[in-house]
Amino acid sequence: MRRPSSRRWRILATRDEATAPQEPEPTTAGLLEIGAVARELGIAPSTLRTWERRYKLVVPHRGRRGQRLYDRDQVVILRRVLAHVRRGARASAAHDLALAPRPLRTSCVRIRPSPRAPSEARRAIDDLLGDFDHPRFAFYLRLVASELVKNAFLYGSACDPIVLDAKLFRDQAELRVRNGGERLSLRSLRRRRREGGRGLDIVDALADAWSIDTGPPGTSIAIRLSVDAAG
Amino acid sequence: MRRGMNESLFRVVNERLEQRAVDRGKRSGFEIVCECAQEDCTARIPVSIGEYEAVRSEATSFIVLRGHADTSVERVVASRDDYEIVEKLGEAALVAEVENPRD
Repeated sequence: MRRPSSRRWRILATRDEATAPQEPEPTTAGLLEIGAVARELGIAPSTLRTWERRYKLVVPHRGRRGQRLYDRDQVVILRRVLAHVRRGARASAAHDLALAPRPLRTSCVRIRPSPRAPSEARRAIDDLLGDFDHPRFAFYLRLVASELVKNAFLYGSACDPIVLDAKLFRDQAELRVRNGGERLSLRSLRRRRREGGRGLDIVDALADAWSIDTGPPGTSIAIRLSVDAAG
Repeated sequence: MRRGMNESLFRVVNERLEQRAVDRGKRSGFEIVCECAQEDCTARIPVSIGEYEAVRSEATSFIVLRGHADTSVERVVASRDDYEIVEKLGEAALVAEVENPRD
């Protein structure tokens, strides 16, 4: 059998070696040498050096002899990178994925287009937030969600459900509201802002960032609202 | 207490809407969100910047759609075609003072 030479193959080939996780031996002040980290992750030390050189994601500390030393947080990031690579991500993308914060909670609800849709969006946000104790943030997140869903009801397909995707992070939330319907023209987008889609100005006033994506099979609006911005 | 808080949170939204209007060069007026106690009320009220500023100069004054005043916590001090200007009373006034974004 021809031996593949890609870096990905090398990682996959060593996966079995890592099936019996070993606790690596700590060195100076709890830092781990490259060999120990490589053994823990089940990859070659050269892979760690390559990732460091190419992506500069995890730049290890240096010991007195110049040897690489990794702290626990760096090992956690490397483990995430590796998990993404093993799922098929390119190493460069895996680094970004590994650094992305993980949501505390996520939810995805499908809401029937009706005048009650905004109320359902509010309830969905309450369910998402649970005991997340920040009344102002909760108030504004409910407001933004209900305005987005109201717009989806007013302008979207009357047949397709409105989908509200929500992610709650430690310091922010991300919402994505999707609805079916025809692609919105630039003119209708402007009209939507100016008239019935007035909710968009509330969204614009409150959200840290938002984007709109329109095209078959409908329109999707994504927003990010931070706890800090909520005051 | 909760109702007093909702109006104050809507006031923050309106402050940002006014700022956006000013940033976009809208000198005449803009649309605010009704500052009533109902959290799910997002009715829009067109106001002039002058009128809005006059109301905003008093921390306990709010603009609500006609018929949205809650006389248990506020009294109507002025009426316009589309909206009323209310003044918070008692504990709601205290909340309005504390939460005034212009302080």
